Amino acid sequence: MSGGLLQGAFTRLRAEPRALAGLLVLAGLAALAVLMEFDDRLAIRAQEVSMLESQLARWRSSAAQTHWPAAMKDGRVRMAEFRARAWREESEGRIQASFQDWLRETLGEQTKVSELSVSLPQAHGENLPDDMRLVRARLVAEFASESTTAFLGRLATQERWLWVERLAVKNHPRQRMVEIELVALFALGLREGT
Amino acid sequence: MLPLTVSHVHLADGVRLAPRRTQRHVLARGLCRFRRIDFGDLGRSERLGFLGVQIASWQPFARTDYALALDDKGAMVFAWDGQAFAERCAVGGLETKNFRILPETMLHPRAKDEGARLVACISGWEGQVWLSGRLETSRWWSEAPDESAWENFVRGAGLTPTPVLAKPADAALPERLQRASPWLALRTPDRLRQAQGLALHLTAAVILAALCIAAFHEVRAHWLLEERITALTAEKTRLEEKAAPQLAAREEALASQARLETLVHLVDRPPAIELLAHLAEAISAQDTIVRELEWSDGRLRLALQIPPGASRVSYVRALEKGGWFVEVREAPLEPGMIEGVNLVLQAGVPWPRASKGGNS
Repeated sequence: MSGGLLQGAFTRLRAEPRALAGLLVLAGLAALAVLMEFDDRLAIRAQEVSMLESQLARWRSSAAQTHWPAAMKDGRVRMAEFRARAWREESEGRIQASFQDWLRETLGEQTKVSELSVSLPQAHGENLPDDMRLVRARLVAEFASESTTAFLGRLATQERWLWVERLAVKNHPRQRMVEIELVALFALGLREGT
Repeated sequence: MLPLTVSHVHLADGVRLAPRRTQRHVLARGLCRFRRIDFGDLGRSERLGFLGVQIASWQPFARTDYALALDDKGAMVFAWDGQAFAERCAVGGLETKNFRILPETMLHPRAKDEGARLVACISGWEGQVWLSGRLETSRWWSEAPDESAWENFVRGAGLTPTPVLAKPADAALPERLQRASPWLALRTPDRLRQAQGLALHLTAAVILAALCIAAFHEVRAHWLLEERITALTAEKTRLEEKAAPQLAAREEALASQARLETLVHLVDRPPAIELLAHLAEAISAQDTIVRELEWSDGRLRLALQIPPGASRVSYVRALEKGGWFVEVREAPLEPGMIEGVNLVLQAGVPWPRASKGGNS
């Protein structure tokens, strides 16, 4: 039945050239639209090929760079050397306490310290490794040339990471005072020998 | 010797048969009706439809057959009695399939001048009016028209009557017409419709072919791209495996290098004792007392008590000597500061006695 209907429609279309032409134009446009859609997809695939090719070029270049494992080992060694010079304690509380102990011991009896505080700043703006901490100590003492020089000399011979961030000698009404801000770099972990 | 082109000639009383088998049938003018149909302002696509309607409404015989000759302004339509034609063919023993009918009018030479002319036919006379190289009007008389009939014909065609110039029929006319070709292509209405359909089919075929070529090109390009993608993906996988250790090592090495640079920058400070030693060395030759000193963030501020009359520039020179202290300048006194020289200077990089081992 549908065959008969189709036959009838086709016969009528043949008798109406304009309708047939219109239908052909519509079919042509539809086919053109399909082709253009296909062409768009082709362009996308071509873009994928281009991306893959550039990725491959990068991969080839990376595969040819055989010096990186050696550079990685060198970096590890240098990092280990650096880390070896860091102070070492197992917790932040111990860091604070041990550094304060060390300072008092280093300052000695002859230095008249009026203020000594040790702090562990929370913010690590210095972009340190996760297990590393900067400890800041501030001390104010009566300025005596010999004892101050001796203390600074002892700091200079310290093998571990420690530096003077601020040094000020000021005249106060009754005496000259020296203000020193020290920073030490600690690594969290077992102390050597424990 | 027989001519190459021959025709059967149809007259009112029967068919004058060609000397040999042919499909050409010349119809004497007396057997035809003529009508010119002008297209007016119609577009090309509308002309054939218009012509079809006009022809359908013009049925001078019970069974009318037609021949059409188209020019750029209209069509000359010849109509004849199809039944009578078939009967004449039957009498003459001629096939009535695949024949070509040529109205006599189309075989006479085309008029070179404008206006009316009288043409002697195989049988009878034909009055013709030509305008702009086109046959506009035609009428047939069995006998040569008299003056009034001619005048009426010419006036009817919208022209000013001129004396009729009738030339007697040439004895060789039938033979000449048998071989003559029409001066404009003749078609039957069916052929016209077929030609129109053919043009449509041809256009459709061309479009279809173009689409097929484009589709083939697209499919081929797609196929080639897919092949390329497959090959590239396989190579990428292979290279990924090969380059993975290098990439991981590179990533770690670069990260480690960046981290070390940060850390070294953080700890790389001149020891304070060296700073003081350098300062003492720079101003030791003078009888000078350092009253105040502040060292922070690479900047040093000094308040010096200097001997009366001492040159300030000598202090700046002394401090600048060696190149470590740079940008040495005298700063204004701040409230509470002692009288003397206030110098502000910057410690240059690298510091002179620096060693990787020293850090404080």
